[in-house]
Amino acid sequence: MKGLILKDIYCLRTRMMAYIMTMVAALVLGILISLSSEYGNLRFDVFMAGDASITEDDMASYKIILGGGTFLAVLISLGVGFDGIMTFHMDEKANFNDVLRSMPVKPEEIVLARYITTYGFLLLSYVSSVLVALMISPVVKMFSLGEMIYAGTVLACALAIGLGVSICALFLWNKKTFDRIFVGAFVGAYALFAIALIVSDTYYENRLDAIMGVLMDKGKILYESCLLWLLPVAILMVAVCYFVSVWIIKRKGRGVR
Amino acid sequence: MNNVLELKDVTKNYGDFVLDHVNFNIPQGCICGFVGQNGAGKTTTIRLILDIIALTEGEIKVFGKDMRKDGKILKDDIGVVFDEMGFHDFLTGVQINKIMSKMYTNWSEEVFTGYMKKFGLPMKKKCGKFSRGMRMKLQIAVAMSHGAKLLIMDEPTSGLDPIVRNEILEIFQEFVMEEDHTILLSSHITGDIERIADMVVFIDKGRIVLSGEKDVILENHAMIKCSKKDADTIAKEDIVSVRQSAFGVDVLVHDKKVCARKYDKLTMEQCTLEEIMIHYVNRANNESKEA
Repeated sequence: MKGLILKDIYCLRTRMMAYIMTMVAALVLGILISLSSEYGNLRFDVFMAGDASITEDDMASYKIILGGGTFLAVLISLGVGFDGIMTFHMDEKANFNDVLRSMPVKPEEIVLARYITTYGFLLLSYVSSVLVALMISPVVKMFSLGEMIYAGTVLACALAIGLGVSICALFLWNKKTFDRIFVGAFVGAYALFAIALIVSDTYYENRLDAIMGVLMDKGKILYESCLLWLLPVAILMVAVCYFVSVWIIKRKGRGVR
Repeated sequence: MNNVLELKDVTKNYGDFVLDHVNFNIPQGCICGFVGQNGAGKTTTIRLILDIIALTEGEIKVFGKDMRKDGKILKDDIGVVFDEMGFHDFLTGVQINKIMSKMYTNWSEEVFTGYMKKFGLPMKKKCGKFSRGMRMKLQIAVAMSHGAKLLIMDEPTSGLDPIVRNEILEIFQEFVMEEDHTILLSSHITGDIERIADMVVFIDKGRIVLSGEKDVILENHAMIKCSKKDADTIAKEDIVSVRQSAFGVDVLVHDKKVCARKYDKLTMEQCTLEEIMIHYVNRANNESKEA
């Protein structure tokens, strides 16, 4: 199993430059937005210039742009944590799965090694996101360091669940099928959302605003109490996904496909 | 002599392809050539032996044990070479050595570096930059550096130039000098098998059509080159198959001694494994057409 982890580390090392570049980009983005909010076009009085009266919508859009940008910096650095899953693709491309199954390794070890490297990489990116938050917090006025770390932790939990489900899917299908399903689900969700919007807009008009309002309020409450439920759910889900992966690999009697 | 590998009624059903009740044994200390055309079922059989894919039916024993139950222990004694290199392009010999030392109990860095040197493979060069011959040698170096007693190789010589092929075949012959070392070598290049194998297993369309000691197979079979009229005088039970040739027909017979007595007016020639394989495939095709 140690050999598999070492192999994964060598795999992920090839993506180190992209990883560093992403971190730098996240850092630069965070600092630029912060500086712009102090001295540039995102300064409140500049942003609101020309408006006779500032409405709630104006305030909301200002917060979304500024807040979204700042969080984006933290989130980008965390998002590369999903990159750990690339080892599946690399192994498939190199025909490593057959070689792996010809080696003295138990299926459980194959799964465990995958989880260790994938979640290890997520942990590394979480630490990086905290570092990015630490670095941009002195210039960001809108959010505290605690808020940024909180947002990062919430996303890390969500990513952990997503990674677990993805690993199961990759053990079940090959990378190509997984990509198709992933893209299909993504496009399908967007299509459904678009259809729902069009239909709601046509038939319900004001009701859509009401629905969105409720969703936003509930979403806020949900977000604020996130770690209370998301953290244990993430831990539980990762554990469940691990056992499901072991079951899949044993049942299929083969490496990954 | 102990059998290192035993396949009993091994079946794998893919729907469009069936590996149909494959039976053969490989005794310790020999090189077994596993011959068949592309798509005959060689790779499927190897993948089944290694428990890479699940059996539909049958039993496989390696060193007398079931691979499904004792896979981890057994695979420590098996070296595998696939037709395509299974290492990531960015890995170097140094990194592969480090990975493998953590994978195999008996991995020897000294043996591995020795083979790398012997094969002229640079340790620090990325294996993605290796030629096909070098990649194959790298796989062989890995397969032989952990004290494997059984080498399983899937088309290791295909696509290689004659010089590299020759080198690799010599390495295999060296390997079986140790009496407890055994090789299963799959190939569609019958010349390689004819040169180094002790026994041969022919597979076609998922079925074993012929197996046994190579010398016995070569000794028993003979080719009769004659006219169509003369070919009609040969009893059907003596014939493997008949093929048209430029000057008449080629008739492969499976019992040279009997045929020499029965058809003393016809000239019999020594045939090669390739000719035998072609005629057995021809017979199988004819049988399936008739069916």
